[in-house]
Amino acid sequence: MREFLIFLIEVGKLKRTPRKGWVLRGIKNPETIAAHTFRMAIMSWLLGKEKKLNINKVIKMSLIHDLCEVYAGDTTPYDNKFFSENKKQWKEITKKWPRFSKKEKEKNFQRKYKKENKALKKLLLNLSPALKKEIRNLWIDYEKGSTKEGKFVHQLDRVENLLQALEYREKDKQFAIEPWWIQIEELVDDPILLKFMKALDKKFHKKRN
Amino acid sequence: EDLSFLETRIAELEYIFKNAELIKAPPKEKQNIINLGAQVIVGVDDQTDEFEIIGTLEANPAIGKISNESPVGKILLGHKVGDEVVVSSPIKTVYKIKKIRYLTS
Repeated sequence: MREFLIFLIEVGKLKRTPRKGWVLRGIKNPETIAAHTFRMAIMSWLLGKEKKLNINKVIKMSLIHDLCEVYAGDTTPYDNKFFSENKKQWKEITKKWPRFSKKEKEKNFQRKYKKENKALKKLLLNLSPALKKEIRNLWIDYEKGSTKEGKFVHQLDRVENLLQALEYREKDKQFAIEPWWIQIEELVDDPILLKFMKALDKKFHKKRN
Repeated sequence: EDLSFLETRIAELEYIFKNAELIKAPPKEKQNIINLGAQVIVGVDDQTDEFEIIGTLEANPAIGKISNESPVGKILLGHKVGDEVVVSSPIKTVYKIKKIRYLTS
């Protein structure tokens, strides 16, 4: 039981960790990593059912997908190349979707994967070998999109993020929503998620026009 | 759980081998047009980006491999250098095609 307790106390830190992207944009009381995970798990259940995916697997995958951030911290696409120490520049920087060469993308991906893999190993250290393997396999599948569940949850992560961004935009008309749509339209090819995105467009954009 | 993961992965790979088509570079005279397997450099606003257009099974946008079934992947297909391609809903984004190449098989 002690191993579970240590693990759960560490995981609980995500309830108090705000998502970095919202902090960069100056959102007051930004959503935490745990809050994002909560809604993502529900979405994976409901939308995964539409696709007849392994629901047990997609829910577990959603629940663990950001656990590594307990030690690795949250990341944004603006890290490294576009990051500025000057907070006053953040709002301006985040108005555009950041662009990279293929080489830069591969380097960024490998760097992030290595860091998060190491962090996850540290977090799971005291769990049983069986549980350690299960969580790691789910995470690798999510990161690499190895199975249809992995591909789906990977894309769903961005769609939940878009939904949250749209909700923030409802409260603040100055919120730059363009980068989210640009990213999503390059990333998502799942038919159920594309259908969901159309519903988001109808609810959050069309009613304004 | 390990066995179950492996069994699922084996089933997925068997499906891929049964149904996948090898992406071959098109003949030289058609390599000025974006098709599956194309490596494309685009200009978007004042920035440059680089994509490889591939099938859904191999897509990984984090490393620049976008699916031909994504909205952007789909709209780039069939275009050539100099074309400006617009993704318009709900936000208008213009992709100007700067370079197309194919890796030789």
